[in-house]
Amino acid sequence: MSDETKPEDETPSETPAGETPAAEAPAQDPAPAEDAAPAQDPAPAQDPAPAPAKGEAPAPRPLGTLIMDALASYALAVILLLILFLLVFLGTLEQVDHGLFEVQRKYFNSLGFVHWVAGVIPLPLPGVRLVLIVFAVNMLLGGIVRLRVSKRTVGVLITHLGIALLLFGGLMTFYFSREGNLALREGGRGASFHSYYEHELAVYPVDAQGIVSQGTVEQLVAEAAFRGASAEAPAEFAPEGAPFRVAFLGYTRNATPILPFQRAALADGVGEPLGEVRGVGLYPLPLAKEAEANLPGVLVAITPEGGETQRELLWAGSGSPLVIVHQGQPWAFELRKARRTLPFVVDLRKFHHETHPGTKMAAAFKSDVTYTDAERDVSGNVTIAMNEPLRYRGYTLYQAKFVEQEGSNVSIFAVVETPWGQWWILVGSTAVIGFGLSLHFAIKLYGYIRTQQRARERAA
Amino acid sequence: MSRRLFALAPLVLALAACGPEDAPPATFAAPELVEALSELPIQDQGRVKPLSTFADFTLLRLNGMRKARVSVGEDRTAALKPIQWLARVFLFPELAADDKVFLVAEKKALEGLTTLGLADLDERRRRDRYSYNELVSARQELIEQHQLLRPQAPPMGPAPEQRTLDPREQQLVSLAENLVLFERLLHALDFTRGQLQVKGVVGFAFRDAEPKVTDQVRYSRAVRYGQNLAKTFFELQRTTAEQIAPDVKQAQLQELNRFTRAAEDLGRSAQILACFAPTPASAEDRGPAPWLDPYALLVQSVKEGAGRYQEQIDALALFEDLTPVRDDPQALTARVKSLREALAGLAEARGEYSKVPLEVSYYRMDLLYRAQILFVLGFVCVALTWLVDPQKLVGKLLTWGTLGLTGSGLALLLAGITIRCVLRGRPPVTTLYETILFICACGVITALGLEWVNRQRVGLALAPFLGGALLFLAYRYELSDAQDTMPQLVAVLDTNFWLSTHVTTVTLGYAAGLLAGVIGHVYLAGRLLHWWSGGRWFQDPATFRNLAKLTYGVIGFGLVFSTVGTILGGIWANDSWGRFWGWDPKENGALLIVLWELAILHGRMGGYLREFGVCLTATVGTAVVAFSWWGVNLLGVGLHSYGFTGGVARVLYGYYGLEALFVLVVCGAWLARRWGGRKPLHIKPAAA
Repeated sequence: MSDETKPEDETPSETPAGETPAAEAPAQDPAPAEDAAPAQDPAPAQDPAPAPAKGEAPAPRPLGTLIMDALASYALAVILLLILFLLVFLGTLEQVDHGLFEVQRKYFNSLGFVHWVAGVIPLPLPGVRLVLIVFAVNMLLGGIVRLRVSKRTVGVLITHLGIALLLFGGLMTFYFSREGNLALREGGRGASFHSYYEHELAVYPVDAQGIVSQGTVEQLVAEAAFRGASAEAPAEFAPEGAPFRVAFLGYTRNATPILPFQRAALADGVGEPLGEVRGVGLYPLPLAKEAEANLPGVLVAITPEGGETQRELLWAGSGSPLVIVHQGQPWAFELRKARRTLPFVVDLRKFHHETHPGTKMAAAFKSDVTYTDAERDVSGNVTIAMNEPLRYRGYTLYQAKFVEQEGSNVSIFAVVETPWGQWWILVGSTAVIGFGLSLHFAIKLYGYIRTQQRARERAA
Repeated sequence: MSRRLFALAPLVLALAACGPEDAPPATFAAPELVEALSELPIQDQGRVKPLSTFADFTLLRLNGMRKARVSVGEDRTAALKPIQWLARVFLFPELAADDKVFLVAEKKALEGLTTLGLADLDERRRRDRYSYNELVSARQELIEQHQLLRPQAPPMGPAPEQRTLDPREQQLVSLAENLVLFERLLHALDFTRGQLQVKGVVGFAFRDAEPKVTDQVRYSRAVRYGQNLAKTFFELQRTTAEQIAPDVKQAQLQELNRFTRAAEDLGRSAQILACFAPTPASAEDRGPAPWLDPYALLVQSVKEGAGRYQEQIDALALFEDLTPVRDDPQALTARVKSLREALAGLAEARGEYSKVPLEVSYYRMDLLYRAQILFVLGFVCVALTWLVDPQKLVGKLLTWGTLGLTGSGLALLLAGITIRCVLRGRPPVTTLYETILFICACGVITALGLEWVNRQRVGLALAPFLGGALLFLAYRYELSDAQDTMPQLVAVLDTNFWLSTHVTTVTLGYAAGLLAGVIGHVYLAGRLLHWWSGGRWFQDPATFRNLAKLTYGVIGFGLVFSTVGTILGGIWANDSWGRFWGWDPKENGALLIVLWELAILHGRMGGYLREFGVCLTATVGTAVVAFSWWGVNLLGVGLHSYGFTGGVARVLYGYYGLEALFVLVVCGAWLARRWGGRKPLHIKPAAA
């Protein structure tokens, strides 16, 4: 945070972190390049470049100190803020053409990337994630650790602490939160949710009709485990309790199966198929603008115990699992959106969709649900609506979408699993930042009003 | 602003030329009549509003302004208020069809129409107004064009991609929509003009009617006996060949069908008149419900019988009483009044009428327009103080005058905002339009606060300037958008808690960012003039120091609100969408303001920015605020998307261009002085 240019009668008490105080910097430019009235501004803000940059520092300082100074400097803070500004601006404009998910991955969640200016000039830039890491260090060192606490800086300190808390909360959310959705029919019940983007391979026994019996244990392989698989470097798994070994020989994030007779109609843009099995090829597609729409595909080699290896293609969009019969027992292999279990059961009693009278404009969506936690013997009836989610045991259920059907409606909840206390961190950091900033500028304003009054009294 | 004043002049002249006494009935000049018409309630776009508000925004959509110039007799025209115009369309459709109320901003759009039989098209201006009768020959072609340009989603299937339209195509689309809308108004009272022929078995349905039905009935009576019609139909169908000969039965059934179809047609053409609040089923049944229109009344009456709808049908009959007396202003006024009583009574039974007269008053008082005039006068006043010695009597009078005018303007603006809050039962900011009003009020208050702190007549000059400029922007936006500025809110916005916390703080942040930017502009312009005059103007360095300090202070003030508001927005998003931060364009826009202001403050602390630097960056900050406030909406992506019109984009890009030019000129001048060997920012004391 900044500080008011010092009034005549006060001495600077805040040492900008990491920078040589004016008194210790004889190399400071005697006539600042751009101030109107140096004579009336006896303690101007400190020299922009710390003394070492001038090359004439009175005493060479150890490298560690120099690095600390640089990391804690205002210069770094300003540069980082400007880079962040640029990244957020570019990332906003890019969303028009590339969709939110891609932009978020490339610009915001990354350490670095190449931005194409006007589509032709490559411009390597750091990602927001990297900038935020350096920013956090800069703020901790310059704005908290090295800040000399006084009446003038206490608001700044509080604000910086609040921002640190907010960044910490963001970090927790980024690494530990998981999200997905849960669709329930009226009268229906659910105890798990589907991830939006993550997939998994599930292996489980079924009966002769392909029906899963209650209590079946599924063997799961997460997408992260086979995302890098290729024919040269296959990823192998032997799901526990299933008599198979599965080797992933290829993976593509968005794929489409193409039948032999469709091949002639293939567009030029489609690349080599991932593989072909029984005449059907699985072809990679460009990523969808809405990341949820990506349907990955894998090429796997499945070896039953004591049996022959067979190559198969699995595709997340196929709608029904691949079934392989081993010693009379059919087994299903399903590539699907990753499922996560909730520690409680949710029943949808009734879904309401209210519109503004005489229009089709939605006035409210509401779901009356009952949640039952057998483990803790807790249950309750609640209404989940826009702006009124259900929070329970680290999970939050939001009213997201709905499908209205004759007879029974389907309500779709967004489910977010957040680390404990995330909401309190958010609210707390907002309060701290708001208080710190208000305090700081209130003190400033008070000082300014007083000097103004004194000036008027002197003039009178 | 001044254009608007001039535009009013002919209205005043026209009113003076033909006072209410000798005004033709089709102008609805009697004030009492106007008031009664205005206060008729109608449910439109999910909200109960006065007919005058409905007329306002309908005419804005068609005509691009809040008045209609219509011909009254040979070579005479009159400027009608929207409600007068709407009454004319309802009651004198044959005249209204010749009124030139369709604004076509791009004549090119019409030139491309092959079926438009308009002889004098070549002589028309590029931007001109046309009547319904002039355009109707191309109706079919326009509708086809509309279907091509704005394809509708099939009943079961994905919505087709909507591409961006060029101005000519936009003109075609809106013209087609406006034509259809106008037709709905033109035919709305058709049911009051025609009578339904009663022949043969149809008379049987009216056997209980008092007075006796002879050969024809009005629509409202058909509605009242709707269930009898249905019963007659089924009884007739059940008869056997012995009771009625098959060919006679067939003819009778056809007669019944003809009558029902004719009634249905009349009802359908009146569907825009959702004026009849349903009677509450129980004491608890109050508040919003779909209102009935003449067609819905017919359908309900056939289905359930007229029993529950007697009062609504009585009111419907009052509509029918209007047409016969349309040429007699006095009788018409009396009948509109009783119609108002009837409709208001129905609405009040649901608790839905009380705000209608308040809304009529809100628009009639035109508080915002008056506030704008006061702000402009205030600015003129403060500009005069620059020419005189502020310590002398004249100077002091002018200063107090400025304060008085600006203060009164602010009071009117605040009154306007408060009435809007009462009308909607919401916090002050819920729509893009209301952000302008709120930012305006906050900007003016903050500028006056600055004046209180610093007494240098900087805040005093900026307050009326901001007030006038932002209210002008609000006025232009309302014109170009032509949508009700108090619409119903979508589900996610239905939370007064977040609307009053997040939305107001973020908007206050915008206001402060703009104010800081405006002070920055003043500083830079002062510098430019100082350099340009060779140092003769603005010789006092304290003036500049003072401006820079104000800029800094306002940035600090803005930062508090922008930061808190942005994070509150995150918490809201966390509650409604399940994520704190989603890199949505509107969120990013708010973050950009915060980052920019933080960079300024840290740059100042680090000594990289002094007076000039702070003011220059604050000036650029205005563009950042503009991007966040309006620019991101143009991107057309994200969750915070509002409707948008081409006019706003042009204004915004125009502003960006001017701002870039200004900043370049200032930087150029600064560099030129620097290279010229002079200290660009050094000001010699006045004595030299």
